[in-house]
This record gives sequence, C-alpha cells and structure tokens, in this order.
Amino acid sequence: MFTIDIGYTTENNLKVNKSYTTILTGVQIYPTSTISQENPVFVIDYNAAFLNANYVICSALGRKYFATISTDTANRMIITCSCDYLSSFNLSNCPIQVTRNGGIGKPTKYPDNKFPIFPNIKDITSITRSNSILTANNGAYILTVIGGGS
Amino acid sequence: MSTANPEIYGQPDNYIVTPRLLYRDNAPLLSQTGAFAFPKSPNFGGTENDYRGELRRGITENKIHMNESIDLSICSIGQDKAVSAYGNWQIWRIDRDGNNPKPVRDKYFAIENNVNTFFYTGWYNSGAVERFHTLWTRTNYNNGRFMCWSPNAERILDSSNVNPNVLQYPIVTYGTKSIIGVVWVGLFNKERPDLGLTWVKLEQWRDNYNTQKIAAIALELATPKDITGSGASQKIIYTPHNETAEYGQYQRVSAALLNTIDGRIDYSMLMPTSEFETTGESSVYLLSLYNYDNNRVNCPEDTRVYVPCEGLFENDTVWWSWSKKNGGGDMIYLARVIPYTANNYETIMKMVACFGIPFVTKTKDLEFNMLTGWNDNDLYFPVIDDNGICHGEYTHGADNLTNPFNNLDNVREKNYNPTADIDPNTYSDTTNWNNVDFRQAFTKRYLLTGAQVATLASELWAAQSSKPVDIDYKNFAIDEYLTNNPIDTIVSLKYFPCTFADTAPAVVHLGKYTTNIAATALGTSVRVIDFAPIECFPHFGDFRDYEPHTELTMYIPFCGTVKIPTAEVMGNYVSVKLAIDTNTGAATGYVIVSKTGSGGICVATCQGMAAIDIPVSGLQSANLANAVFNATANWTQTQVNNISANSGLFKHMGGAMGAIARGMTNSISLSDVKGGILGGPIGAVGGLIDKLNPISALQKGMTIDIDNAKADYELSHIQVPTRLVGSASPALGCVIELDCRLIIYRPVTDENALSNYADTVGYATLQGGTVSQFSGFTVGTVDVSGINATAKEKQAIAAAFANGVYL
Repeated sequence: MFTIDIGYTTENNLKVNKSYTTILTGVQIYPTSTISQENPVFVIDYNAAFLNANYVICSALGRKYFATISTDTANRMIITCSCDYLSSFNLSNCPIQVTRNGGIGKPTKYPDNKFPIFPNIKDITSITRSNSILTANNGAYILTVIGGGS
Repeated sequence: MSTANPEIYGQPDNYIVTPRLLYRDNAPLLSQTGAFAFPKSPNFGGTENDYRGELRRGITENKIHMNESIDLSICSIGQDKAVSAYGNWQIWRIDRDGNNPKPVRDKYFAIENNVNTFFYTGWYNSGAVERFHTLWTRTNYNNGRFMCWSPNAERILDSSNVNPNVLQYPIVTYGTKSIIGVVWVGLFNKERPDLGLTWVKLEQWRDNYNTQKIAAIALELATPKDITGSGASQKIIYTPHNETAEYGQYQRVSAALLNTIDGRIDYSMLMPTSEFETTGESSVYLLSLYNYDNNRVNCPEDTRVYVPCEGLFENDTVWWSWSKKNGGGDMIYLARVIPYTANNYETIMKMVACFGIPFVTKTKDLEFNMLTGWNDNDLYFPVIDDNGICHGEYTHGADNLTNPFNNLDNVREKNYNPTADIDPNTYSDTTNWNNVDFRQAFTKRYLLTGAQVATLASELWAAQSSKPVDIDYKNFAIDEYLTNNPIDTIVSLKYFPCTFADTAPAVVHLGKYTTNIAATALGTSVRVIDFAPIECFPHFGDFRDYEPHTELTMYIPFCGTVKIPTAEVMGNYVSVKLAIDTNTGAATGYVIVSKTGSGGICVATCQGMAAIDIPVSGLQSANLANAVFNATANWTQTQVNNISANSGLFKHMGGAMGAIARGMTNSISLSDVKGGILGGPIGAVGGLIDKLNPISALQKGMTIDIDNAKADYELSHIQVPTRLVGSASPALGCVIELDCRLIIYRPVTDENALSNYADTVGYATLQGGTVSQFSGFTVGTVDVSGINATAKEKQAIAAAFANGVYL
C-alpha cells in the first residue's frame, strides 16, 4: 500500500515545476498488479471532491502525473495518469544552452527569423552633415589658360 | 594559464591586489579594464610601494586591502613554457608627448611573451619595480617607460590621458643571453632618511654593510658589447649605460654577435619577502611622502624620521593616517626592510635567478673590467628546465657551459616570438591619408567670380588685335611665342559649387593679352572637404540594427550614394572625406569608420564630378584681320579680272594695272598712278581705280563712292574666325544636395504580432547556464544526464525543452 496526493493544477502542461493545489493528501492505494511508473492507473473509492482533480503526486513512484478522473460503475474512481516529466525531476541545475527565451523581455543581437517584421516596409530616415565650403550659388569659376614657367 | 610559482611568489592567499596602476591619474596602463595582480609585501618586499592617497590638509586615511583575488593569468616567470624566461627582452617606451613612439633612452627593457608581466624602472635612485606592474617614471610623467612582457601581442595600449588609444611598439629586442644583470641592494638608513637608500652591490652588502638592512633590490642590466678571443681567452666586454644615449646606440643585434649595444639598463624589482628572515624590530617602514607640489617630502613632515608601521601588513584590513600641513601630496612610500643573513642572501640569489638572465653580484666594475667568458667564476647562469622555466637554481664558472641556459637561442629579431601562436601582424585602425599635390607648370589657373566671367566674355569678343607692334626677337620668354588670339589660350572654364580660400591676387593673362580682370591665383590642385562624423547609434539595440533589416547608404555630394555595411558602422562613427580635383573637376568621396570619431579606416569610395563645364567662345581677332585683308584682295582681283576681260581700256595698262593692284598694299601714291602711268582719261581711270581699291582709297583718306563701290568686304564672304572652347556639361542635374546624408533604412515591426511573442515564441538568443537561471518561455538544449529518470523520460524532457517549455 502506498499513498498518493490528489490535486489540480491550472498551469500549462509545458510548465517546469508546476504549482498545484492539493485536494487531498495521503489517499491510500492498494495495487493489485504491477503499476506502470510512467502511466500508472489508480483505483480509489468514489469521492466527489476528486471530480475536478487533474494532478497526482506519487512519492512512492517519485513522480508527478497528469491525471484523468473517471467513475467506474462500481462507484469507484479510476485515475489514469501520465507522467509530468517536467515537474517530476529537479531540473534546476541541469545545464542548458538556450536558443530562445521569453524571459529576456526583448530582442537580442542574435538574428531572429521569427520576429514579426514587415517584409516589404522600411522606415527611411537620414542624418546629414554639411560643410560650408560647398555652396550652391556662390561657387567659383576656375579658368585654366596655357602658359608655362613659374 | 598556470598559477604563479609559489617558490617565487608565495601563496596566492597572501597576494595583495590593487585595482589600478600606480599612475598619477589613476589610469590603468595596460588595459582599460584590467585589474593587475600586485604581489606586495609581505610576499614582495621592496621599496616604494606606491599607495595613492589624497593628501589634504589635516588627516587623511587610506586603506590597504589584503587578500583580494588576484589575476593569476598575469603571473610571470616560473610558470609554464609560454611564460618562461625563454623569450626576448624588449625595450618599450610610451611617449605621451605625441602619437609617435620614441626609442627608449635608458633603463627600460621588456620581455615579450604571453603574459602581462612587466618590469619597470625609473631613474635608478627612485625607481620601483613590480613584476606585475608597469609604472611611469616619476621624474617625467610625459615619458613613461617600462619593461614588460606583453600579452598576446607586441603592442601595449597606452591608456594615458593624452593618447589613450596609442599603441606602442617594442623598440629593441634582446635575446635572453644578451642581458647581464648586476644585483644591487638599497641600504636602509633610518637615522638619515633624507639620504634615501644607499645602493651597493649584493656582495658589498654581504662583505661590507651586513649590519644594515635593505629596503630594495635592484637589477642593473648591462648588455655585452663585444666578445673577443675564444676559449680560455674569450672575454666579454660590456660598457655602462649612457643616460643620454640616443636611439642610434641601441642597435638591433645581429645573430652572430652577442650584441653591439652600449650601456646597461637599471631596474629594480620587488621580490617576495615571505622567504626572508626578519629580526625583532619593525620590518615595515613608512619611508616618505612624495608631494609633487613641494618636491619630495619625507614623512612625517619636519620630523624626518622613518615611521615604523609595525603590523601594517599583518592584518586583513589596515588603516593608516598621517597629517600633512600642505595639501596636494600624491604618494607615500612603504617598505619592507630585510636584514642580512646568509639565508636572505641566498634567497635573493634565487629570486634573481628566476628572472632567467645571467647576472653578477660582485663589485666588479663594468666600465673597466670584463668577464673572461661565459665560464667566468663571477658570472651566474640561471638553470632552465626543459620547459624553459627557471626555478631559482643557478650555476657559475665552468658549470655555466654545461647549463642548458648556455644553449639558448639568441634570436633577437624584433618580431621573434618564442611561441608560434602569437599573431605577428601589426594592426592599424587608421587610414594613412596623403594629400597628393603636384605642380602646375604648363598652365595657369585663376579663380573668377561670375562678374569676372562676364568681363572675360566681353574681352574675348572684343574686335581688337593683340598683335604686338614690335616683336623683340631677342626676348625668348615663353609668352612671346603664345598666340595673339586670346581665345586660343583658354584650356577650360569650370564652375565649382565650392568656395575657395585662396587669396593671392593675379591679373588674368590670355597669352600676350593682359585683361582687366583682377582674379585670384589658384593654389593646390586637390581640395579636401571633411564632413563631421555621425555616430551610428543603434536604434533598436538588437539584431534589427543590422543587415538585412537595417541598411545604410551614404549620399556624398557630386558622387551619389554608396552602400555601407551596417555591421561595420553600427555603434561606431562614420564620416566622409570629399576630395575635389580642381583640374578636372573629378570628385572622390571616402566613407570612413572610426570608433571614436577621429581617425578611422576608409571602408568605401565613390567617384563623381564636382565641376560644371562652361563653354567659352571668342573672336580670333588676329585671324579676323587677315581674313578681312584676304577678302578684300580677292574681291579686288576679281574686279580687275572683270575689267580686263571686258574692256580694252586697260590693255595698255597691263603692267601698270598690275602695279596698281600691287599698289593696294604698297605705299604707291594714287596720284602717282594717275599722273605717271595712265595719263589719258585720268578721271575715268582714276575713278575706276578708286572703285577697284577702295581700301587704299580709305587709307589715303579718299572718299568712297558708296553707290558704286563694293564694300571693302562682304562679311557674307568671310567666315568670321571664332573659337569655341569646351562644351556644355550636364549641370549635375541642376538640383543637387550639398550635404552628406546618411540614409538609414530601418525595419518596421508588426507590433500586433508581438503581443504573445515572448510567451509563445521567445526571443532568439544564445546563452548557456543552468535551467534555474532562465525564466519564461524557453527553448534550448538541456543536459539531463544527471537526473534520476529513465532514458525515455530523459528523451521526453529533452524534447520538451527543444520545443519550448515554461520556466
């Protein structure tokens, strides 16, 4: 016999280390056959409080699971679980090489081919610098004539 | 980079780091950002540890930080091969008077290798050396000199306030065996601090002054000048350093000889004191305060005693304070003093040997004596291991010949690097501009205003001959041979939309014709116009500032537009230089990119035309006179022929008429013709002659019968000799911008599509770390080998991260 905690989470499935709300802890499980570690199925007595549950924590298996609750004709509840890999293990110290990240908050110097830039629209502006030597109407004429010597 | 050899430098825990170099303006010397490990007392004793504190009126306190982290990457001799003494010594100098490095005058040398290790020396009576620092000479802050191992290149950045970006180059390079060091020690006299330190050779300290402590150790460097003889009679002659020696005396040595360089170069060094034995009394003394306003002042003022600073370096944080009446002092000098003991003497020998150069310790006078050879009993060789590392062992005498150090390669080429992976190139970030000018010897050029051009046109169309009345055939001046038609002298007339600052007055001469135009002589042919730099500030601060999203084009007057690679310009300065050739009107635009707005490298050029050709036409007045004359002669002859054919009257005249015809140009009196030749019906003939020769008649003041006379000439029969110079050129479109314009094409972001971008797509990046260091939507490659999960689960986790998860 071992126990499970039944709860619910509203987090995105892809969330690492999800937070969840516990409905009931220590729900006793009496397995009658081998239980899959990745996709266990638990059978428990019916409890209306679990109707909205979608998350199970099983310390015995060392995992957290997405749970689907169904009611058996024998007035039992069948909890079909699939492992929530992203929350079952401590990934905090795992090395990672990140190529995209929303937490940065803004674009970086790395080219981003997904960034929404209008393909055929450009904002054209300019910066000028002048030099008073150049003049439109007060220029000079240079007359070149033949003649040698210094 | 390996760690510092603890045999030499003690333990890193005892190192003291100063965050800045000891320079007057607190500017780091070697790099803009570096922190330099400064092994200080107690690990390194020596003199003149330069702690800068602001000395004001009253009490000043400062703080010595101990046990801060040290950048071991800049530790020097005694490490791996890359940083061993197996290198070349180089003399460097930073000249802050200008941008040009000057040759080293004295006392400084350097070793080039892969580490940022420097020896420094100032004047030999006030210098201080740290193996990890460079220091400006205190006697002249405008000419900092130092010896160094320079890291990764042959250049050192001079981050002085004058020329922060000037890179200096080693001036002279010496082979390791080309330097001989003489070990000096500075005797510490606490009863007479005003005398400073007394310098004696190391052996003199042992033999004559061993009751006195030393506060400094110096290594005077000599360069053997010549080797004579061979074998047992071989002698090494070297001469002392000449303090005023010019660069010419520091010649590059050839590979064949040891060297031909005069002089010795002093430097003093700090050495670890953790190995030294000390006695009961204070081992640390405050030597002096140095006030640049009031010259050197010993501390405390008016007491002139050394101040013991017991325990100064023995605590983690030490404060010291002093008072000074006059403000403005700059430095204090602290010293760790060392008594003579046999062990301390040996320690010094060991430390010197670690520097990896031959050395002597005796009172042998370098000026007059000489070593007998590499096996001289007074000459010490460091022992070098297979990796080129010296660990403090040494040999002398005959043992030198079997010391591997004796076999070191004495390559002394300037660019020799002991390791193969040092970039040998010399880089520059400045284009070398040369204003190419040339002599205009065969043409003359004038600057005219618009009004003067109008005057010129009038003069060119004036129907006047410039034929000289007299030609002096003895005058061979070139202008005597010039055409007498002013229009024929003109080569071109061009309009430049520019102002010229030339001022030399010059009257316009068109060949032999002097005009009334007081113009200006044009000077140099090529004029360069500089446009102020534009700082290309990144607008977005991200990838959108670069191609293909942001594009840059530079419009240059007269030349058009030139595309500029954005990556070269963004974050830097871009400027334009426009060169105009006043001979042809050609314009060349140069686009220059620099980091600071000055200097910079030309990255693009374009060509154009700055001038507008003005067609010039004029009357060839000299030719006109001839044309008129010939026309008149032709017409007259025609008439003569007609009369001769149609009338017998002149049959008898024949030659007379011929004479008359010829007389049109000769000074034959008409009355003579009438009276002496024709006789007869003079009146008719005379009248006819008048008609035949109306020009002559005019010349003689005779009246023309207008009704019956032909015109002197009919212009319709004469092609008026004019000339057109040049042709109209396209007037540059007539509408032109005269400003340089950096045209920027920026992308436009679809802001509506960004609303969930961070949470669903994430911004492109490339960062490493651990999962906990990131947040938000994250895509990446995660290493889950360390978690306790099945292989399938690990794959699933990795796949999830590759597609994106939320952290």
